[in-house]
Amino acid sequence: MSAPPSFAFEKVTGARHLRAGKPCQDDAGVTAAGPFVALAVADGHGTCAFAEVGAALAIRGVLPALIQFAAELGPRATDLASVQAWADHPLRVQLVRDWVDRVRTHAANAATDLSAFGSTLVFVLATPDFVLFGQLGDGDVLVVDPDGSVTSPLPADPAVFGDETTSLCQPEAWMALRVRVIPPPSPGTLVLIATDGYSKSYPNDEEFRRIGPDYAALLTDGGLPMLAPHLRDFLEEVTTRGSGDDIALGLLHWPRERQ
Amino acid sequence: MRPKLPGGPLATRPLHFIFLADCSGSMMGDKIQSLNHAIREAIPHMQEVAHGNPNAEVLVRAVRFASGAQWHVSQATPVDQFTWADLTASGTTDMGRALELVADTLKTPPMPERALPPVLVLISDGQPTDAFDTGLRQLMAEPWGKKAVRLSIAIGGDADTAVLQKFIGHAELQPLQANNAEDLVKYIRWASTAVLKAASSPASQTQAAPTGVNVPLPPAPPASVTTNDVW
Repeated sequence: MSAPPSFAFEKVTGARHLRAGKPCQDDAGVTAAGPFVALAVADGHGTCAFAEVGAALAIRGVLPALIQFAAELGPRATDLASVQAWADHPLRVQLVRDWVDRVRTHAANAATDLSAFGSTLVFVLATPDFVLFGQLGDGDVLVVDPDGSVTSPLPADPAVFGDETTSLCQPEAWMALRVRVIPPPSPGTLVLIATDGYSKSYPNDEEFRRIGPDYAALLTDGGLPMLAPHLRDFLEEVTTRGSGDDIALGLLHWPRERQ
Repeated sequence: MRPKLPGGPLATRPLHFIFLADCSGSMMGDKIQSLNHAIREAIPHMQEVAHGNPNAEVLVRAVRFASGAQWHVSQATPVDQFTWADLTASGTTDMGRALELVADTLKTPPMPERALPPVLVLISDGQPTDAFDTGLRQLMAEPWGKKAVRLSIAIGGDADTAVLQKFIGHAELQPLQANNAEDLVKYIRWASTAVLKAASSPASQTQAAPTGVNVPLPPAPPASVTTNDVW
């Protein structure tokens, strides 16, 4: 059984939002409980009146739900096919329903217009037996193997193009939530999850994906605790010289065995 | 010391702004002169808007259509370097061919998926004389054609507003009716500034955005309340 990964996350207000006096509408968070770590980022849609609330509620809801999902699996967690099936259903439905309930509670109105709170959601759940990735809407998930190669564990969403995205607020949103279960990664693996303001700050996917091995290389001296204090500076530079959008970033790192 | 920034070189997001200008024979004289003046007048205001948003790279091009269609400004030109050479008018109104030209440039690639929504401004005083629907179909078959902010300006009472409305593709937006030079300047300026500003600072949105348009736009200025309608 491998040790839980270390983690870090950060979010910054986009350069465009700063100029316009708007708040950051991205959010990020992490919950660690025993051997489980749940990490998530969310991006409230700028066209929505309460975008930052929608994103915050998404983070607040998904983290405990993922931890509970892992805890309730018990010994069944080693059967990855079953975990995938449970992630497909009922977990996807539960996560979206939980967000809807939280929005309605927040608005104190069971008939509130969900589209005023629209948000994307990207998450990763690490357990000793599997890693679960989930994504609804735009954003990015990168897995950096110990050899520096970068893969995307989730299929692209053909409905995501330009600044249009699938959303927690749309009807039957759970169907747009992509989930994938993989075995625990090798020591030295790094997972990055980010809102779309990060990748849109690069001319193409190839240049963006270079962040994977570059972050991994920065972890060789001191790991995430040494890197975390620099994340805000990094993201502020990226939004200023790139897309101008808000950015939220989360990292999970499975340290190599001590030499 | 802060470590080197991870990732490749950063880039702002390109925004392609394309004028599609009717140069048919009916535009000869005052109309084409007014159009040339209106676009030239708008350029410094476009540059000012672009300076206000350093996270967008505004690139301008123009197509002329008459008997056939050609690029008037073929290179996507940074707005700071954009200048306007006068158009002249003669021939028919091959608007469909102009849409095909634009459709070709909006293919992905070379258009990056991370671009900002293009802005297409179609200006015409007449009716298409070629296969408009074929051109429009080609344009709308491209994801960036479909996602573009499409505006149209009708010059004078003979413009085919039904065709211009089809180009826009959203009932919420109507063609702008310019019946005199003053209105034409006003509408070109609005498209080149207010619309450019909105398109260069897009907010992410769901597919079922309440407005139905690709980018929420500020209201267009009203037509002038004068009796100077000359077209």
